[in-house]
Parts: sequence; C-alpha cells; structure tokens
Amino acid sequence: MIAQRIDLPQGTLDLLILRTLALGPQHGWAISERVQQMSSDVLRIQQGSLYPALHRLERRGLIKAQWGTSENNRRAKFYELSKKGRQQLEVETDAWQKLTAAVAQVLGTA
Amino acid sequence: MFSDFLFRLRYLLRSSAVESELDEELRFHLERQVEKHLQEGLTQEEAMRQTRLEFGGLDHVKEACRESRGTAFLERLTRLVDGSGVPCRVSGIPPMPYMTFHQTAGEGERTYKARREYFYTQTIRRGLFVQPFHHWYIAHRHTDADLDKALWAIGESLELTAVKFPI
Repeated sequence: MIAQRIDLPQGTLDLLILRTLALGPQHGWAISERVQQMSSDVLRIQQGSLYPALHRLERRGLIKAQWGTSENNRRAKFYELSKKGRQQLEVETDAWQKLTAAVAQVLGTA
Repeated sequence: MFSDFLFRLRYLLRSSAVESELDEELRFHLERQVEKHLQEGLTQEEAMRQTRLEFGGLDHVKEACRESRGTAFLERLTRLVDGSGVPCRVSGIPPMPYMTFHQTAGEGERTYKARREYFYTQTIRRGLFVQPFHHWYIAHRHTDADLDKALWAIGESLELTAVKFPI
C-alpha cells in the first residue's frame, strides 16, 4: 500500500537539501530522488521548487556548485555542502528537533 | 555576505553563461526524470507528461531561480528602461544598479537635464528616492515587496517622462 503523500511544510526544503548533501555531492535530480527515498515516498516535493532553493543556498554560501559528469556520463551540476552549510545543518536540525518535540508534547503524543 | 557578493558578481560577468547553465541544469533534470519513467514502463508521451506535472511550470521555475540569485531587480529594471522609449540606460551590478540619462542628437543640455529631473521628481512622488548621480543600493533589509514597489514607481515615472519629453 502506498503511503499518503504529504506536502512539504514551509521552510523545510532547505533543511532537507542540506541533510541530503551531507551524504555527499549530488546533482539536483539525485537530491530530489534521495529526499523521496529517505522519506519513504511520504514527502511530496514539486521538483521545480528544488532549483530556486539550491540557487539560494549557493548564494548564501551554504553549498557549493560545480559541473561534473553524472552516473550516465552526462554533464551535470553537482552541489556539495560547504563548511558553513554543515554548521547551518547542525543548527537547523537542532531547531527542528526541538520544534517537533514541542509540538508532539502539545498534541499529547510525546 | 562575501559569498553573496561573489555570487552576484559572477552573474554580472557571466550573465548569459549563467542563463544557459540554468537551462542545461533544468534540461538534465527533466531528461533524467523522463528516463526514469520510461524504465518504469510509461510510454514516451506519458513519461513526458508525468515529468511536466512533477516539475511544475518551467518558466516559473526559471524566474524563481533568477529571484534566488538576487539578480531579478537589475534584469527587470533593464527591461523596463529598455522598453520605455526614454533615452537612458541601466548599468551597475545586481545589488548596485545605476541609471544614466543621455542627451540625444540635436537636443540642448537644458532639455536633457529637465527630463532627468522630471523622472526623479516622479519617483519621489511615488515614494521612491534613488540617487540621480550615484549607484543605488539594494540592502538585505529590502523585501520583495519593496523592490516590486520600486519597479512600479520607476515604470510609471518612465511612462510619464516618455510622454512629457517625446523623442
């Protein structure tokens, strides 16, 4: 049975991108696939929305981009976490965990 | 802040290359997604349709990428000015646009200065003060709504200037 898909909550896409890139450099399509897989296909991302987020993160210096060769031997733009991005990931992961714990507590499910 | 500056500077120096890189990056994604659907057993037509649905509007995505790069204001300002019929041009870098008015052939210095003064008076009347003889500065504090309002004020002021000082 396919799990019901949930639209990504506002503001969490950046966090998911940073987390995905913590596993190693990836191009945009692979990031989208990885997020889908890691969430067991529960999270639904409009794939196009990934690219403005990637460009914004690059502009903020949280990720770096460079062109390389993809798994199917084509030219692709790969992104990787910068040092600043790794620090930001830690901060945002911590904030997210605190938020979800607090919400769960309010809902009485903690 | 430094990475932001470098990012925008790279755009200034390589704006057409940055645009074609964006096209190439998005094309790679779309082709890869179509391949995935073909491997899942969809027909070419179904795979392309499904990919378009999953991706969203391409033009919208491209515009959002330009917004993300922080270069949209300069691009939109340039389009406004180039299409206005007012003899002026835009230069500068994305966070520091610069607008220069020209003296056209056969027109006196007084007319060209009056045109420039009229334009800047109209922007002030619309709540926008931009430096006539200096770069403008876009700060992190400026919101998208601020920038939209500035472009609206510039657009209207250019229209009025074109009517009052026809070439």
